[in-house]
Amino acid sequence: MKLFVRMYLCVLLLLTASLSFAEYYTVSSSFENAMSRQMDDTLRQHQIVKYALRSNLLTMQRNSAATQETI
Amino acid sequence: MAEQTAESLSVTLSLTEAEEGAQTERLVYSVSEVGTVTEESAVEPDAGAAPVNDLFAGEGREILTVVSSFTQGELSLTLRTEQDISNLFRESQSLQQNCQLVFLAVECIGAVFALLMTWYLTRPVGQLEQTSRAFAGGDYSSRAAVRSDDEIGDLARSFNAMADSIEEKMQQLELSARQKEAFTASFAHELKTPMTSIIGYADTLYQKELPQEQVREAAGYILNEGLRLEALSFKLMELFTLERQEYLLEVMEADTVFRDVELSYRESGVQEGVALHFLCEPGCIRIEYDLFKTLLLNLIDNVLKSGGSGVMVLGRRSGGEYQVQVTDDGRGIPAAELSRITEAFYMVDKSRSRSEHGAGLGLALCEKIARIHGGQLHFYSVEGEGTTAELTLPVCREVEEA
Repeated sequence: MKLFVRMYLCVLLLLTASLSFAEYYTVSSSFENAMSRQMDDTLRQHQIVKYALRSNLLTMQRNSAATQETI
Repeated sequence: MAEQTAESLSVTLSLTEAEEGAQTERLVYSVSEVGTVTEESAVEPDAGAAPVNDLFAGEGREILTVVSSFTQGELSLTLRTEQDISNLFRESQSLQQNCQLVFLAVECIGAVFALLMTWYLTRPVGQLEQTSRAFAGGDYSSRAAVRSDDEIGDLARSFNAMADSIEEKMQQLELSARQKEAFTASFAHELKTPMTSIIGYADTLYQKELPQEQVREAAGYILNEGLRLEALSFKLMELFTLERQEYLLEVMEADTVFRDVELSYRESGVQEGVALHFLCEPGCIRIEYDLFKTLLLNLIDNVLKSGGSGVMVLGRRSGGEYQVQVTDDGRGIPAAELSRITEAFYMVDKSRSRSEHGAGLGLALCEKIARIHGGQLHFYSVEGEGTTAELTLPVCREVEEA
């Protein structure tokens, strides 16, 4: 194989490898960041729902106790 | 990608009850914006008190689930929230496709640049290869172009140096081949002339009955030509032996050798009407005695045949060299022939040289002997005024200083 072809193939190989790595790194880091933010949001929402639920249950239990006392 | 987090949230609340040692869960409340959560699929059997994150995929959707268990009074409850994050994956795939397109475009542009760069880098090597091919094909004047100071430039420079050397060697070989051809032709010619005479006279003696006087005359010619041939063969042998033999040079005083040469001439008798003068400064030279004497005798013999009235042999120091000059006031040598007089069998005046039993080998021998001594032999001549043969030898300073 001629030196010209060998050098050209080497440069192409290097270029392809670096671009593939850059693509993989960009996509995966972007996905991981988005996923991490999504998980934080979901957890926060879960906590809000949980606190709201507990608060409602507590109010219901108090109301029920007050009704029984009145009766 | 964060914008999609607020959408498609589903909440499931189930009540955990203990019955005969086993725990069962009963769905209490469920609201689903995505509409995919069912009683069976939403319950995690071992959900603890702490929030648990789980990601699972179902029916082409990607769901992020958070499950937590807690007790409220006597109630033991499990809360499960689910977030549809399919958009996140779709966005990621879209980003990946965009990246692939961009990088493909970059790769195409890069490939063109790489092509140009590789061509630029390998062009000098290709040119060097073409030059070397032309050189190998016999074009000894072809040289590589040196365009840079890098390794390829160095390679081109080395190639050019090698080409110069080969071209010089080729020229030397061609010259040597031409000289050998000329030598062979001259030798054949020199051999033919006396042989013709010898055969002619011998034939006459064989065929005819001649008077005693003519027989003696013919025999005299044959003897003379025979002696010429003998002298020729001796000189030729000397010439060939000089090239092959190795000589041990010894340090001697120049004036001692000059005195010996002068004595040799005085004893043998100098040509009539020729005044021979020796003038020599002291100096140490490294010589092979017999060879050096032969050289001086040959030089003097040559000038004696020049037809002059006097010969001056002068030895003197000049810087780090010792110069021997043999000068005559004879016919001189034409400038055009001066460079050829040291060639074997070359004679300026052929008929006169032959009549004096010359073979045209004397000065060729002198030059070889001068080279053996690390010296140089030059001739200067003005036609009609005379010739000077100048031999330059290195002086042994270390011996003189000691």
